[in-house]
Amino acid sequence: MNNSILYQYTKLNFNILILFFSLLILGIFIRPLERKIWLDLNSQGIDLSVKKTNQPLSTGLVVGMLGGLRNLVADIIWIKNSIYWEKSNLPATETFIYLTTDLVPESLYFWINGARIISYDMSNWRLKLIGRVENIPKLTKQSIWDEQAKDGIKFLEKALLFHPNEPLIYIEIASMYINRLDDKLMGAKYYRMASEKNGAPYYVSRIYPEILRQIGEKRKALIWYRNLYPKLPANNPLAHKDVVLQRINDLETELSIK
Amino acid sequence: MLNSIRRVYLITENCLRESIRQKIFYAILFISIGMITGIYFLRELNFGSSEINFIFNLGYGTILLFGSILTITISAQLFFSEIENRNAITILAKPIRKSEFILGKFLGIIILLALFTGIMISILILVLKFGETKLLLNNTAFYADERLLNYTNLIIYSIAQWLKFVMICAITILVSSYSQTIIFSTVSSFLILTICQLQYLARITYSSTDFIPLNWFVAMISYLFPNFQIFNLGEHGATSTTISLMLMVKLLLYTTIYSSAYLYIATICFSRREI
Repeated sequence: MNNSILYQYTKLNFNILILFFSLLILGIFIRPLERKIWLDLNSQGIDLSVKKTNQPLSTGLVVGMLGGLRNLVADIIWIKNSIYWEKSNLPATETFIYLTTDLVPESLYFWINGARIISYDMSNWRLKLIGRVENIPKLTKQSIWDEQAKDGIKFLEKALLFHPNEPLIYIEIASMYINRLDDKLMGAKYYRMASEKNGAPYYVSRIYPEILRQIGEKRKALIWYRNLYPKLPANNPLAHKDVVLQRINDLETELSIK
Repeated sequence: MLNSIRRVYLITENCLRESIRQKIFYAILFISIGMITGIYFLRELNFGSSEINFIFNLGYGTILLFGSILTITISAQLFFSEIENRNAITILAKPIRKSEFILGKFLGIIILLALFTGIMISILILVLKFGETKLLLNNTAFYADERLLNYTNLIIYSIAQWLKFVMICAITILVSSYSQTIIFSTVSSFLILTICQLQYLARITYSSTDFIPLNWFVAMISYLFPNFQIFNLGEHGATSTTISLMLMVKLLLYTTIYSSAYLYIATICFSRREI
């Protein structure tokens, strides 16, 4: 009786081992084909990576599990988030913002609006908790602005993992450096990076030299404008070719170059 | 050989007829249809993506979710109903091999899944066409005379999804061939589906870790289970470039090798099973 049970048990284990090794060998045998498919997908512009290398595992998990339905889930969370935003509930709003971008990292809307809330709205909520904004010492105000702006920038830098060529993210980072951190040099750097991206709005290539001008780098600004001018289309009113020409003239006068 | 094909054909035909009669098929089909047509009315929620992409993503997600549920439940149910109703004994008492029985069941189910995927993608295309036409009419100056979506790609995505359902079906049949209850079969198949869907993620997360045993464990898991991520061609929205035929051939080859292996093992397990 005992021998029979032992026999059955050994047989079962042996079968499981056979199954295990057959599947393992099959996996090893088929891996080159899987790799080829993956490379083919990448070459055809399909990036199926659900997680970027320096991102938390949770991001990949939710994306991997929910598939296409994550868009709807993220949208519902965003609506729910607006209620917390209205109540100036900082922890809940922040959590929900991170959740939406974890669910749909492809969406620029969530990244940019989330960063704006973190940087601008949340700093105001924190100030309101201290007291009347006009009575708060400038130093305290600046330190809160700095903290929130740095958080906002950090958030947008994470967005760059998914959208490395998206000028709007660079523009948003630049404006946070200028408006909140009062760091025009970094602001100029990001505006320049934005202007180098495809599809960047024309105004970015005008803002960059204007900041250079404000920080005293007039010669650099003039060189930028001179390089920019011939590249601008004459028939597009958004390019403001006339404005650029006027600024070249102004800078030449200021620098006494003619 | 011809006789064997004829026997497999008869089992396939019978299985397909039986599966179409299943209530669960209609339940899932109608819920899915309702969801896909309902997406059009949810399009105002498209904060994160463009309207058309939003409809596409949701429709694609619905096909994937309900398709997976249908595959596992119907595969397990049809397999066990044959055993519980004693039909299997009657069938296998005739000169029908167990491999023919398994293959016939498998083919019947995958035809049903092709039918389901076909219906779903046709409805999704109709909804997308409607949404796109309305959008183009409202913005004639902006879009001129162009289409916003590559519909050939949508059909290709759905074929890739169907190939994934085929693999899930083979896995469920394999689990059912040795499991004693339908619940065990269904739950195990869902867990395997989750592993297959996420194993790629574990691979990239732990490939760079310094802890060697963990590295080995993850590598082993990735060899044991197929990678389902390669079938999710429409995961991040519809692309404009048409997917190459060669890629689809490779996906088909991948599915065929895995499914054949699973069915072969299922046949061995089923042969040793007392019905």
